[in-house]
Amino acid sequence: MTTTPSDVRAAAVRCLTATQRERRRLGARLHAGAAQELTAALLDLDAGPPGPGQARARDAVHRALVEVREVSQELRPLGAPDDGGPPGVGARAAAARRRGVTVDLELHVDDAALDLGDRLAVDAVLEAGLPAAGRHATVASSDEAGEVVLRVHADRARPPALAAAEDLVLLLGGALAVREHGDDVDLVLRLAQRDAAAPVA
Amino acid sequence: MIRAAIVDDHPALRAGLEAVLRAEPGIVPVGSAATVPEIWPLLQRTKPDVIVLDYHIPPEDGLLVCQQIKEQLLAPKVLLYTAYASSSLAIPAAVAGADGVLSKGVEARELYEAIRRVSRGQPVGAPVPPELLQDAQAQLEAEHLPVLDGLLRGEAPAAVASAIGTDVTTVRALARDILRRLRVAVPEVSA
Repeated sequence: MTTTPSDVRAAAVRCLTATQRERRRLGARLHAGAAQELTAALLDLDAGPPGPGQARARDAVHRALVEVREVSQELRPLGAPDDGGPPGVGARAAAARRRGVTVDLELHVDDAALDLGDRLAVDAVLEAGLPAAGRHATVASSDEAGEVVLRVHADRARPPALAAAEDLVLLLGGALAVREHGDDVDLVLRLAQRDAAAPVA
Repeated sequence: MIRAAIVDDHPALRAGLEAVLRAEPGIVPVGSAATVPEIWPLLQRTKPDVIVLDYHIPPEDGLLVCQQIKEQLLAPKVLLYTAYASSSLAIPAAVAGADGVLSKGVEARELYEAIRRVSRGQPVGAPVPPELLQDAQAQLEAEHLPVLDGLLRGEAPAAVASAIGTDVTTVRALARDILRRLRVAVPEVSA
């Protein structure tokens, strides 16, 4: 039996979307279950008699609630569809902005027009690069000589999770170059153009 | 005395909210609803001054429910009570007609203050950051923009309709369309 690069790419897309669907289910379960119960516990504590024990318990429950919400959102990024597809460049940028990171977008390729495998590759790079940013990031896309190129620049506040992104991009038929310089990191994703990467109007 | 009604699908949260509101002088919990169909008889029966409304009420989106509540004659003030009370919700909440947005998990005294503020017609919640407004405008058509501007200034749909020379039904339809288009900027919550 011969396995072609196209077979590998299709299998990677199936595995990734299945994984993402499961992550989103778990994120939704955390949000609907544990987070609501912890919020109710805070209200019960507030309704009870005040005291040092109550204040300590409130702090502990509140910290747990914040952590559960963060994990829930990491499992289930805002704007991500439930079918396991990626949230898209705009939604990833919006999520980073909510963390206080300034994100400049210079998009000359409509990521929504890419095929699912390429959108997953783009998302893997964004998921690795944007959370690394401390205050500022830039995301740029262009069509260069038949390749779709995505550049993510981040003023690195924490180490980006690059190894997994590089492997995923490779499986999806792209190439990821990483340049770390000083406190900054540049990620450059190259994807062979498939049917059509629509120019942004 | 401020009459507050609670709309939340989670029973423990409804019970917790009722308990904290009952403990506060000047605020009285008048009833609660767990689903959208339960809201309308609750409003008719209790005539609340303020509704503390969960962001998501199965099977609907709390923002669309908020818009429906605000379309009622003598609508109560609506305090959107959500796990995602970030600045990103400020635009959709204003478009839906919410009078305030408050994070679930804040201390009870902040909840009391928010209820008092919205009952007086004072804003509650994060202001709209300019970059989020630009993002939102980029997702809309030209016909949406004057409606968005008016609603963000806190104008009632009737006042917006008058300002742009149309009727209130058209403004409400455009507002619903704005909410649908901005959906990506709002948490997709299934419970």
